[in-house]
Amino acid sequence: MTKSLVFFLVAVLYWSMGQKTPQDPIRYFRKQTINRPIAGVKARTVSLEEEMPNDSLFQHLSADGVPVYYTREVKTAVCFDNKCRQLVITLFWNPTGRYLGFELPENEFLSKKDHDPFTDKEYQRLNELLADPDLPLGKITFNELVLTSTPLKGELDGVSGATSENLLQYVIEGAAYTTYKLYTILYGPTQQLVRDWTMQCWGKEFMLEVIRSNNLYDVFWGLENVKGKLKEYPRLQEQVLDMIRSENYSLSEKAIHALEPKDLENITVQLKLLESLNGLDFGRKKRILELFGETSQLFPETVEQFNSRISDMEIPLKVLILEIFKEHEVVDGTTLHTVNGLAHSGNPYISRKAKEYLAWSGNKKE
Amino acid sequence: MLTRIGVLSLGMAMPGLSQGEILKKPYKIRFRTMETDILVVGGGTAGAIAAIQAGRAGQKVTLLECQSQLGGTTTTAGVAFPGIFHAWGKQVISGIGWEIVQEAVALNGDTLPDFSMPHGRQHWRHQIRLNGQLYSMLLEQKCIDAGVEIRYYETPTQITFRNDHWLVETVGKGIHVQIRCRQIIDCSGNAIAASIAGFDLIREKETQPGTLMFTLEGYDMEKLDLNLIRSAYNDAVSRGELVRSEFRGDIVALLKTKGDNIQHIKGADSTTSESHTQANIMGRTSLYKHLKFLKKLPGCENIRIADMRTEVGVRETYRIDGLYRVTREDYVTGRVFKDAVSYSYYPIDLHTEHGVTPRHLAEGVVATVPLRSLIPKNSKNFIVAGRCLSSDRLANSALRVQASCMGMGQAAAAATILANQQNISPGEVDMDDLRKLLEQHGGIVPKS
Ligand SMILES: Cc1cc2nc3c(=O)[nH]c(=O)nc-3n(C[C@H](O)[C@H](O)[C@H](O)COP(=O)(O)OP(=O)(O)OC[C@H]3O[C@@H](n4cnc5c(N)ncnc54)[C@H](O)[C@@H]3O)c2cc1C
Repeated sequence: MTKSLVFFLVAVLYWSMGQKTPQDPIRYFRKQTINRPIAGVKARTVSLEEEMPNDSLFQHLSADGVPVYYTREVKTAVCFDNKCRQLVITLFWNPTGRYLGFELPENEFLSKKDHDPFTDKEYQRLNELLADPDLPLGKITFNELVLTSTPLKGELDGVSGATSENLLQYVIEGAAYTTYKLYTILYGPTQQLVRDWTMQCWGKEFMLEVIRSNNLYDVFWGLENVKGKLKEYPRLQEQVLDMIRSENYSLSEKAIHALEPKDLENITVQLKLLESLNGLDFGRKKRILELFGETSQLFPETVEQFNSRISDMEIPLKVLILEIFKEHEVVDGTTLHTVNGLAHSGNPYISRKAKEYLAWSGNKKE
Repeated sequence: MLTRIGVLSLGMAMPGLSQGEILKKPYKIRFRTMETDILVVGGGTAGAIAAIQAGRAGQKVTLLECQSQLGGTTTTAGVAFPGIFHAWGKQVISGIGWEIVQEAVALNGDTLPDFSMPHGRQHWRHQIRLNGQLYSMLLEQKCIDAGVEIRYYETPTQITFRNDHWLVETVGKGIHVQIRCRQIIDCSGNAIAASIAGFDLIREKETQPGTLMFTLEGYDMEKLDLNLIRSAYNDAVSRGELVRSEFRGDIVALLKTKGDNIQHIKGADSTTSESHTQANIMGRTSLYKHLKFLKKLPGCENIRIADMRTEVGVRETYRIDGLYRVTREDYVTGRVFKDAVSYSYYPIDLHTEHGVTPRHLAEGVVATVPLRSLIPKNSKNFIVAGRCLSSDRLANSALRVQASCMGMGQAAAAATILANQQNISPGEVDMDDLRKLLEQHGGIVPKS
């Protein structure tokens, strides 16, 4: 065997290890929230980008009509030093708007400057980059991307110049325009369309699945979108109330914010919330107590609990409970007795606040 | 006719008064004396919180603020972006600052960021965008509720310690006041009260630049020829029309950020009326020149100022020479001091004329603020809070951020409350008592 033949075989072997074979459609995917077989597809025409007029957004539905994912087939030009090539790729969105993945048509591959195909590593990196909703790529315009700057570091696709150095870490080297283009489509107006379309198919089972998802992005989206509807859906409400006790600070905080005062028009909810106060920090406790102030009624059991727990509360929360009493015109004997105790507090601020309540309650009775 | 003469002759004796007008004799500066438990100098990021805390503990509190509203750098200078209350998935700063930030966010219909996702190199993901004016209003309401006497437009001119009390002379518009108090909390950001009281201060030869916050509008970034703008900018800088360092040599960044925290005013110092006047004029002149320059460029013909804060935000002036100076090493290793009163979490964040490259803390690290760093050497009944705490420059670049200042403000006030109650100095308070008091008011105290 000649040296050059050996070299050729090694090169072929190396190449085939690093690349997908042309026959395999290239597909990178993240975890879906809804895992059900697709039973139907609906399409809507979208004209969001100048270069892709009258394009379609597809909603892929399960047999029970739940959106499983959304797709768009992107066909756009990517230019290298004035030579252009079609970028053909299918992008996937989760029903919550989150990036889900991409797929290339059979025999298609992504390429960089000089038409070098992406390696597996680069596909994986692209998949990672596209999954990050906070990349600066979402905040820059195309002319900023291609702006020549010092120090020049590597060339970009799309232009002969280079991008600012700090943007290079957010793109696949040699394929900055491709990365940018995909990112801006994924996080551009299509994302909102996806979310809006999902909201049009709102169903409690679907929302329950979303807020039970392992993906925090989905859960937070779900919590935002169940707000105002919990009273009608007790199972969702129960799930949200359970989340308040989560170890995860943001999860607990967002669950509290999913509640509205009208959700507290129910004794079980009020008692459950009071129970959850135990493990919470000051800020979250305060928000929960504010809800008691804003809801339409306090149940006698709730007043009882406030009276028995007020002495252990932080000082601003004591004051808040006094305000809640006023808000709901609570003037029963036990409450007056409790507040009378506070009026004798060694802290003149607390005692002033308690006296204000007592004066108010006196006027109420007259 | 007679009536006419009468009016005329009367008019010669005194100015002609129309019905409803009264004659005001020449003004004499009014002198007043007052007595209070705790005097807070500066109602900014740290000071407003300190005043509320002291008021809520039942102390008689007077708050001097030389501007017309509370919040200081957070509101008057428009840096309404406090950071950082959470570290590594946990809340590390809470209490009064957090209470009001939370309320401002809710009232404005905003939501809090997701603190459970690590911020990576983008620490600002965990900072909170506030409506600064709303926040300022809430601070004022909370002060009133806590019984704090707010005195706007007033500044101290003399501070002396006599018979275990401070005598503080202040001047304001048409007024001269002598305030007798037991404790002073200096939250002026520049340690001006500490300096007037005779304590030593420390300053870098060259301080970090200041920034005028503003918002530009009237152009479409997508449509601008950025290469052309950049080259016109470089020409204007070469001709001496624009100063390169004022926008870090990056006109594109100015357009992109629309003015949000991008300007750099060298030597900006808010310590005296004169230095602050100069900083404000420099900030506004720089904006004016750049605006005029941009207006001539294609695509920027309609550029205009949508909003501009009333004063330049100042990053760094004086720090006290305290009982302990927090070092960079303490900060980046997350040293938990025995007398730690609050946490601080932010990257080391020193701004220079070239911009800023934040140095992030290693995973799990959260720095702490020792009580001693808030107390000037050789002082009695005196404490500071905010960016003027005793620290080396690099530690200060992280300690100075807003959540940390709020935490310090509350802790400093707690120390003075206990000191007043026990007739001791803030440096002598028992740490368990301090913890208990702070926790009763919703604060978080590091555990050593
Ligand atoms: C441009 C800029 C950007 C920043 N970015 C951020 C950021 O994104 N996030 C963040 O958390 N931090 C940021 N910081 C840091 C942070 O805002 C400040 O360090 C912090 O707000 C300082 O708080 P303070 O209470 O010490 O001082 P200030 O908030 O400045 O308060 C001082 C108060 O004292 C008053 N005062 C001063 N002198 C007198 C006097 N003689 N008499 C009476 N009153 C007086 C002032 O009017 C003011 O109200 C930034 C700072 C600047 C300048």
